[in-house]
Amino acid sequence: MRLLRDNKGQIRIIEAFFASLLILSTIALIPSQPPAVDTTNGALQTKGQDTLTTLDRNGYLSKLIKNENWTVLRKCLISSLSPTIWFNLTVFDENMNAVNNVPITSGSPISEKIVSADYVCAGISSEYTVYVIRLQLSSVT
Amino acid sequence: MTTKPRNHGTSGQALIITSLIIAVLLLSTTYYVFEVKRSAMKDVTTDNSSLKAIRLSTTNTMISALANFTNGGEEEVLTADLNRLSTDIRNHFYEGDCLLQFTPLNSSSYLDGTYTLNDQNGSGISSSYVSFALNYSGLTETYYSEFSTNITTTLLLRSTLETNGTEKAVNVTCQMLNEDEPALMKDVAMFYQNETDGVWTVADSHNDFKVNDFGNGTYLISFNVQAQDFLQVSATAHDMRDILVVANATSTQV
Repeated sequence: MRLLRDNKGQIRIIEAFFASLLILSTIALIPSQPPAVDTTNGALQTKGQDTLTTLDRNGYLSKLIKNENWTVLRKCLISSLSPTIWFNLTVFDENMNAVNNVPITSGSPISEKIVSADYVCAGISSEYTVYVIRLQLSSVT
Repeated sequence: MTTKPRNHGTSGQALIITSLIIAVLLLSTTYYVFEVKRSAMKDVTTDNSSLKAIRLSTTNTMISALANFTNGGEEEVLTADLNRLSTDIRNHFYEGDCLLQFTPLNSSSYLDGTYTLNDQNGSGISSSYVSFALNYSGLTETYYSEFSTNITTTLLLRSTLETNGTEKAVNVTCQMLNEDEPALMKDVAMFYQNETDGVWTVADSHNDFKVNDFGNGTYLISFNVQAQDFLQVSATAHDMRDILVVANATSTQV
């Protein structure tokens, strides 16, 4: 009987429960800290992606690949990228077989730090083709 | 005789109800904050280069599928090509886990994301509309993006008929549009019909067929025909993306 009448402890438990709920909600709202990234490499990778996206406007990149016009593709990359950036581009088909039979590169790597930008290139011609393009880049730091 | 106060022993209940109200308020605030964060994550494709690239690939795939379909391909080509792209992106996107989902528009005019119109009032439309949802979990970032892509090639015709001796001179003004912007034609073929449900005849060099390109997506096509007062014309044109569009118009006498 005494236990039933003395219900102050129950209220304390409920109060503690809501307090912990409040604390947990507050913790959930705090944004998690993103892991540190190498900004130089990140910028280089973004540069590579942006270069390929720009070349692929109006399906130009897929047309060059379809026509195996590797010389023009290399010249386009040289024009688009800074002279201080080394690049090596490899074109794969959907089964990851290399398509380009000649190297599309600007020479030897100028740094040990090489980043890679992968790009899925869809052709616009009525005969649908998809290529996977890997653009490796390094720059003088 | 003493009477008990009415609220005696009920303060605990009031406290519980108050606590519940506060908890509901807290939870709704939390939910609201998450919703705001989620909506802020939408349309991040404008900033993220990887997602911009994926968006461009979806556009190119839709152009390819529409070109295939309008040139006599299967109706299912759009879904098949987008499934292929989605699989390729999932398998070959090494920077993170990327899931591309798509829903072709089905409405009164669009069937499985594709729509073609060829009326008698000078309008021809070949169009494709698909909604996409992109879930991207990268090493450093996680994004959710929803976007829709519309590929539309429009051909507008206006034809006039002018008596020129024994023959009639036909002047057809064609306007090509890609996504409502002026666009160039890759090629165009003109046909004419002297009577309703009559035989369609191709206009060629025998008809003194001439195309005047104004360079801004507008073309003036002229040819001569032996016709009565009624003349129906039909233009079949490809845009530079190889999408075929057909438009018909009735010539007006001037």
